[in-house]
Amino acid sequence: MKKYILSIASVFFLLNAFAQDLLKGKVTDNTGFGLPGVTIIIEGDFTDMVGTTTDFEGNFSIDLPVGSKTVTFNFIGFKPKSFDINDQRFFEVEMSENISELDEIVVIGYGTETKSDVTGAMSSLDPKDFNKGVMTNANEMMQGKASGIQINRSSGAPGASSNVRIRGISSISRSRGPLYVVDGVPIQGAVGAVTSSGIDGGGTDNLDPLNYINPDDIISIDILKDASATAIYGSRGAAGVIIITTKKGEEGQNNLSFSSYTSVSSLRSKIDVLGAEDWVKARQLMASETGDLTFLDENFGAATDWQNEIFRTGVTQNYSVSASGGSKSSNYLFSLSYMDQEGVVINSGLDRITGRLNLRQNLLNDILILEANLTAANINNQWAPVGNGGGAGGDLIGNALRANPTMPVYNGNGDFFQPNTTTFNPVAMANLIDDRSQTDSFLANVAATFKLAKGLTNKTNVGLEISNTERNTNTSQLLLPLEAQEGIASLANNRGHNFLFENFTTYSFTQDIHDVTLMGGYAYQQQTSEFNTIFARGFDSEQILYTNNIGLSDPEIVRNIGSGKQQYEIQSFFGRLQYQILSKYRLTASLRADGTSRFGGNNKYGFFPSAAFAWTVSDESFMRGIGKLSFLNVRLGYGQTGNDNVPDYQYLNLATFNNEGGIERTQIANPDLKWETTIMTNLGIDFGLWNDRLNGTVELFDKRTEDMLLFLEQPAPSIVPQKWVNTDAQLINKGLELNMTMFWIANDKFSWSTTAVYTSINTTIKNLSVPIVGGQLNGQGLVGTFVQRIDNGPNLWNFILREHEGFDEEGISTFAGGENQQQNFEDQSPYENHIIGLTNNVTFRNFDLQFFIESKLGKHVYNNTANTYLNKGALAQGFNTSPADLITTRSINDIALASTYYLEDASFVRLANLTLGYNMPVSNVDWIQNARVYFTGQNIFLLTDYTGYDPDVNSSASGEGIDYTSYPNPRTWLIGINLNF
Amino acid sequence: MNTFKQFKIAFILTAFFGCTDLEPEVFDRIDGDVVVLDAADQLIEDTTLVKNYLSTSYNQLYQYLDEREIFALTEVTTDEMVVPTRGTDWSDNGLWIQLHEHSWNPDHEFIQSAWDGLSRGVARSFEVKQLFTDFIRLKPELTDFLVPYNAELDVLLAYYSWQYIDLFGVLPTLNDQLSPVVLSRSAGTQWAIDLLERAIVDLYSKEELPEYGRVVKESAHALLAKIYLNRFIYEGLNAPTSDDMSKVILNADAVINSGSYQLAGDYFSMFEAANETSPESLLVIQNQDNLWNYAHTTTRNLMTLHYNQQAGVVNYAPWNGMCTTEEFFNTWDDDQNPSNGVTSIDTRFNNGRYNELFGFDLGMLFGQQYDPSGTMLNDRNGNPLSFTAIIGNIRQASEIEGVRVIKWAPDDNSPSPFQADNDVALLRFADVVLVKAEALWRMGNTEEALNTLNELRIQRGANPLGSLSAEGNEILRERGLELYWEGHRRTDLIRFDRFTKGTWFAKQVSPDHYSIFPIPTKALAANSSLTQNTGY
Repeated sequence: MKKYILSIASVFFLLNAFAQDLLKGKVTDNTGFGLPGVTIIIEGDFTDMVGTTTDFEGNFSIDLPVGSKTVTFNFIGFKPKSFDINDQRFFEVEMSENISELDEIVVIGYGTETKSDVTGAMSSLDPKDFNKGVMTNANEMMQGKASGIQINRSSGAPGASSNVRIRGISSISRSRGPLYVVDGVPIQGAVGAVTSSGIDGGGTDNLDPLNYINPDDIISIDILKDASATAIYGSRGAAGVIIITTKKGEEGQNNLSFSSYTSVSSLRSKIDVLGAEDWVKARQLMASETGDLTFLDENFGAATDWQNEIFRTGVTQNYSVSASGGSKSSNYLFSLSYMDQEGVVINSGLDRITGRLNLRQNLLNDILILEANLTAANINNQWAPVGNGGGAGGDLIGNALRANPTMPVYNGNGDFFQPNTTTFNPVAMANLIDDRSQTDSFLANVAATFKLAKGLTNKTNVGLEISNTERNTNTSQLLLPLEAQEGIASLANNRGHNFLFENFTTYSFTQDIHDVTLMGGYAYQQQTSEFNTIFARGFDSEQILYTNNIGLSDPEIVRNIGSGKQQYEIQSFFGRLQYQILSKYRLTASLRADGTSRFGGNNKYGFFPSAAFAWTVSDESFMRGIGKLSFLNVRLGYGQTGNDNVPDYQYLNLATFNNEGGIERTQIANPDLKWETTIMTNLGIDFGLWNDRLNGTVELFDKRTEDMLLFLEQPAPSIVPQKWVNTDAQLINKGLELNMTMFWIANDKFSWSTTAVYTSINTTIKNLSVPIVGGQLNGQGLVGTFVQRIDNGPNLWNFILREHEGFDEEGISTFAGGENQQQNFEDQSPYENHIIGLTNNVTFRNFDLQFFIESKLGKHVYNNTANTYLNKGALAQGFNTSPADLITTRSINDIALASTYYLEDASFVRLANLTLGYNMPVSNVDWIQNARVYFTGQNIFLLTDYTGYDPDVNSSASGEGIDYTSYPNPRTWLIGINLNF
Repeated sequence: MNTFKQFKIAFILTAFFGCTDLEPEVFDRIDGDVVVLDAADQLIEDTTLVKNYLSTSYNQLYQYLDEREIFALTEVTTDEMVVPTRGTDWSDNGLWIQLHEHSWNPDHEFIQSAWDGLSRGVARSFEVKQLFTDFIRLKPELTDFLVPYNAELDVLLAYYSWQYIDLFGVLPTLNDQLSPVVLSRSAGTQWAIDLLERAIVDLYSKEELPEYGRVVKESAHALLAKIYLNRFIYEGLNAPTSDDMSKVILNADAVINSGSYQLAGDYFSMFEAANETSPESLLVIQNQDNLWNYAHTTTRNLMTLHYNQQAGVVNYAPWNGMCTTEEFFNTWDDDQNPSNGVTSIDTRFNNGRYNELFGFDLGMLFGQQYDPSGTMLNDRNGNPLSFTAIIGNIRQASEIEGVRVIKWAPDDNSPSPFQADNDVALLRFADVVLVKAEALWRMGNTEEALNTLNELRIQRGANPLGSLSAEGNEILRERGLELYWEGHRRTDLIRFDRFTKGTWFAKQVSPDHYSIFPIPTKALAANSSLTQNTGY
C-alpha cells in the first residue's frame, strides 16, 4: 500500500549560472488542478528553515541555498512527497490524496507502528475523527467513533464521567474502566472523584478523570482492544487500553494557533408533567370522585413550570492558544486553554484552565533525545444538587418534576416560597445548597532516549501525576426541609499521587527480507491515594459560608471526620518481538510479568503472554489483479490480560480501633487471592476495495474472564460479611465489530466520505455460584428495591421485576402471579444489541460538513424517575404527575411498586453532531496560514420511545440502565473559529 | 560486537531498578498481628483498658436499634407493629408488608441484614476471645485477671447465638480451631446454655461490679432463664419439660433474689434520656448524646410519628411509618369493650408528661394530636391529625391511620437527631419476673404464677387479675403490655402458638414454617454445611 504513483516531469532544464539557485514548479492534484497552499520545504547542509507555499494556481518558486539536497511537499489530506534536488530546478508534482489511513503512525504500548503493520485489534482516532463541539474530555470526543467501545455518559453535568467499556464488561467485580495512558504514563484514574455527603439528593456524579487533559492538546487516541495488543500492559489491560498522545511541535513548522468557541446549551426536551391549570382540574376531579374536599387545598394560586425554573440556557466559552515549532534537533509546544461551561441546570458549571509544555531536545549528535511533557490544570466545578442516589427528600430534578405547579417560586417579599418542612422548593434547593469542587492536577513526564547503536535504543520514562480535589458543600438552614440540621457543611479532600518509572530497550534490524524489532523493559508504578472529610452541622450565622470557617459549627453536634491513605505498587517486566517477512507476514509476541501489592506471597506475580499473526494477502503475487480488491490483511491474535482491581493490602490482617479503644479487625488476610485473567482471541480482516475507496475492518472476538474476582458472602459467623475471592465463574463476551469507510467522491473541490462503525456483543455467564443482586432503585417507597441480577446464562444485569398486567376495576396494579412474583426479563436487557455510528464528511470548495449519527438498539432502561415521582398517588399527596399517568385508570391508592410498567425500550437514533465549517481564503494574507469558522450542533435530534430525558443513561451505582433523575444530556449549538498563524 | 556490549548496558540499566518487594506501607490501619503485642503490654500497665477491648463485642448490640434489621423481624411480624403503605411512603418494594403478612422469602433484605448482623456479633465476640487468648499466650501473668472478662464476653456471645437460634433455627459458630461450624437448633441451644453456665461461675455479680451497663452474673441468669423457657420450641416439642421450667425459676430467682434489681417505680422513666439509673437493666445498649449513631432511639421516634409532629427539640420531620394494630391496641382496654373507646388505668398505656415539651404523649398515641402549645395538628392534607386504631388497608393507608407508639421519650437535651441519650435494655428485670410467672404457670403452679404477675401489675398501676386461664392468654397479654416494642413479641407469640396461627390486622393464618426465618440466599450459598429451613 505504500506504493504510490509519482509523476515527475522535468520538462525544461536550463543551466543558468546566475539563476541556478531558483527552484520553480507547480503542484497539482491527480485531476490536474493546481493546489494552493502546499508547503514546500528545502533541506540540506544548512540550519535555517527554508520553505514556501504554492500560490493560488499551485505555482511556486524559491531561492535554493547552497547545499540544498531535498525538497518536500506537504499538504493536509495528501500524502507528503519528497525528492532529491540534484540538478533539477523545475518540479511538476502531482500529489495524491491520502485516502488510505494505513500509513498513519499509531501508538501501541512502548512504541509505535505504521497502521498497516499492526497485528492486534485497535482503533485509532485523530482530530478529524473526534466529536466536535463542547468537549470537556477525551472520552466525550471518542464517543461513538470507534467500534468495540461503548461510552455512555452517566450524566449531562459538565465534566461528569462516562462509563467506558471496551468490548463489553470484562469483570463484574468492581466497575472497571479501561487503562488510560497519557504520553506513556498510565494515569491513576478515579482520584478526581469526590462525592459529597450531606445533601439529601444523594451522591452526585463522579468527575471524569481525563478532565484535566485539554482536548485541544490531543493529537491522537489509540484504543487497544484485543489482548494481543493490550497484553503488553498485562495486569491492567483486561478492560482495554486507551493511549492518549498530545501534540508535539513539528520540525520546520513554527505555528501559532488560536481557537475559540461559544456555545449555548439547553434542555433537549422536558418531561411532561401537569401544568398548574391541569393540576388544579385533576385535583378537583379527585375531590368530586372521592368526596374528600381536602383535594381542593394546596392550591397556592401561582402557575410555575418548575422545569423552566431549574433549567436554563447555559453558555460555554472556550479559548485555546498554542505555539509550536521545532528544528531537527528540538521542538516545542506550548498551549494554554480556558473553558467556562455553564450547565443547563441552574447553579451548575465548570471552569477550567489548562497549560501544557511539550519539549524535545536532541543532544550528543542525536544520541540522546530528551523529552518532557508537562500539563497542569485547575478545574472548578459547581454542582447542582442533582444526585444519583437520594433519599426520601429527593434531588433537585426529582423535586422539580414533582413540585406542585401552583406554588410560586418566591413570596411577595422576595424570599423563597417554602410551604412546610417536608416540601422542597426546587429553586430554593438549587440556591441554598452551595456545592463546589476544585481540582488541581499536574501530569509530567520526562523521557530520555539513548540511541546506543544502529537500531538499538534505550528509553527511560519518569512520570508524575498529582491530583488534588477539594469539595465544599454547604446546605443552608434557610432551606426549610433541612432547617432542623441547622446548616450542614461538608469538606472533602482527595489527593492522588502517581509515580511511574520505566525503562525499556528496543532493538530493530533488517536482514534480507526479515525485519525484527525486539523490545524489553521494566516498569514500576506507585499510586497513593489519600482522603479526608469533615462533616459538621449547627451554624448560627449565614454571614460566613459554613465551609469557610467550619469551626463555627455547634460543638455539641457530633462532627464526623475521617481520613485515610492507601498505597498501591505494581512492578513489571515485559518484552515483545515483532517480526516481519517482506512486510507481508508479521508476527508479534509479547510477555509481561506484573507484580502487584494487592496480592500476597506467591500470587503477587502474574504472567501475561500474547501472540498475533498477520498476513497481508493482497501483497501476494497470486492476488494481483484479482477483481477490485486492493488490500486484504488477515490478523489472528491471542492474549491474556489480568485484573487486580480489588482493594489494597488484601494479603494482610488489618485492624483498627473503635471509639472506645477496642481493637477491631477490618480485614482478614486473604493470601490465596490472585489475578482475574481475561483470555481473548481475535480474528481481524482489513480490506480495501477499488484502490481503497472502500476500506474497512471486520473483527470477531471471544473474550473470557476466568478466576473471576467476586466479593462474596463468607460463611457465618464472619467479622466482615463479604470477602474477595477468586471463583470458577466465567464471563464470556463474544462480539463482532465493523468499521468501514467509503470515499464516494474525492477531489479538491468536492469530497464525500462515509464512515460506519458497528458493534455487537453477546455476554454469557457460567459457573456463578450465587446470583449477584443489584440495580438498587431510589426514592421514597422504593428503599430496598433491587431490580437487577447477574446470573448464569445471558444474564448480565437482567431486570427481575413484577410483570405489570394492568389495573383492576379499582385502579390497583395487578401483576402476573401476584405482588410477590418477580420474573427475569432476559429479552429486555439494559445492554444494547447493536451500536451503530455513522459519520459523513463532505467538503465542497472551502466548506466542510460533518455529521454523526449514533444509534443503540435493543437496550432497555428502568425509569426509576417515573416510578418514584410520576404517579397519581403523588398527585393525591399534593405533588405532581404526568398527563400520561393521569389518563390511565389507575387509582390514587395504587402503590407504585417496581414493575415492568416502568421498564422502557430505550433504543435510540441520535443526530449527535453536525458541524459545518468554512476555510476562509487567506492565501493573500501572509501572516495567516489558515482560518476556519465553524458551526456545530450537538444532540440535535433524537428518535426514541423512552419517556425520560435521555435513553443513554445509567445512574445506578450497582447496576446498569437505571435512570433516576439523571442530569439531562443537553442540546448544544456552537460557533467557533480556528486560526493558524 | 559493539552492539552486544550496548545490549549488556541496556540490560543492566533495566535490571538495576527491579527492586521492590511490593509490600507498601499500611497507613490508615494497623497490622492485626502486630497490634496484639502492644495491646498486651498496655493492658498490664492499665488494667482498665480491658473494658475497651470488650467494646468490640458490646458495640454489636447497636444492631438491635436499627429499624430495618432484627427489630423489624421481631416486631413487624407480630400484632404489636404494622407498617402500612401510605401513598408511596413505606412501600419499599413490599418489604414491610411481606413481614407483616408472613410472605417473606430468603431474598428479603431485612432478613439478610439481620443474619449479617448476628454473624458479626458472634464473630466479633470470638475476635475478642481470641485477643484475650493471645494476651495470655504473650503475657501469662494476665491469665487470672482475664477470667471474669472472658466470661462477660461469653454472655454476649451466648446472646448473639441465642438470637441466631431463635430467629433462624440454626447456629453458625466457630469451633476450637476457629473454623466455621454449623450447630443445629437443639445443639446450638445446649451450646449456649453450657457457655452461660460456665460463665456464671466466673462472672462478677452486680454487687461486685456495679458499673452501669456491664454484663454481670445476673445478666447471665436472666438470659439463661429466657433460653430455658423457650427451649421446648427449639427442641420441636409441644410443651416444655418441667426440668427446664425449674431451671427457668432457678435462674429467675437468682436475679430476683440478688437484691441488685427491682421493678421501676416509674415505668416510663426506664425509657427516658437519663435512664442510666433504671433498676431493671440487665443487658443494655448504651447511648450517649456525644456520639452520633443512626441507631439511636431518635429512630424509634421518627419511624412512628407523623410528619407534622416534632420528634424532640430538634425540628426534624418524622417518617410516619410504624404503628400498632387495632387488636393490640384493644388489649389495653380496661372493660375489654373497645367499641366504647379504649381506656386503661395502666401506667404503661399512656402518659402526658412531655405534652408541654413535644405535644404528644408517651405510650399509645391515639386520637387528636397537638403541638407543644396545645394547638390541634393537621395532617399534610389539612385534615385533623387524629390517629385511628383502625387501618382500612395495609396497602392504602391514609396518613392518620394507626395508633402510634412512643416508648423511648425524645431526648430534649439531644443537640441533634441521632444523638439521643436514651439507653435501650435488651434484658429487663420485669421480663425476668414475667418469665418466672410463665414458668410457674407452665409447671401448673397457677397460684404462684398469678401472684407474681399481679405483683408486676400492681406496681404498674393496673388492676390485679383474679385468675389465669388454661391457655395463659393473660400471661401473653401481660408480656405485651409490659414489653411492647422491645423486640420480644415474636418469640412470645411462638411460645403461645399464636405466631403463625394467630390472626390480626392484615395477618391471616400463615404456614407453620414461618415461625423460623429462612437462611438468606447468599448465606446459604456461602456455606455448604447449611441447609435451608423447611418450607422455604
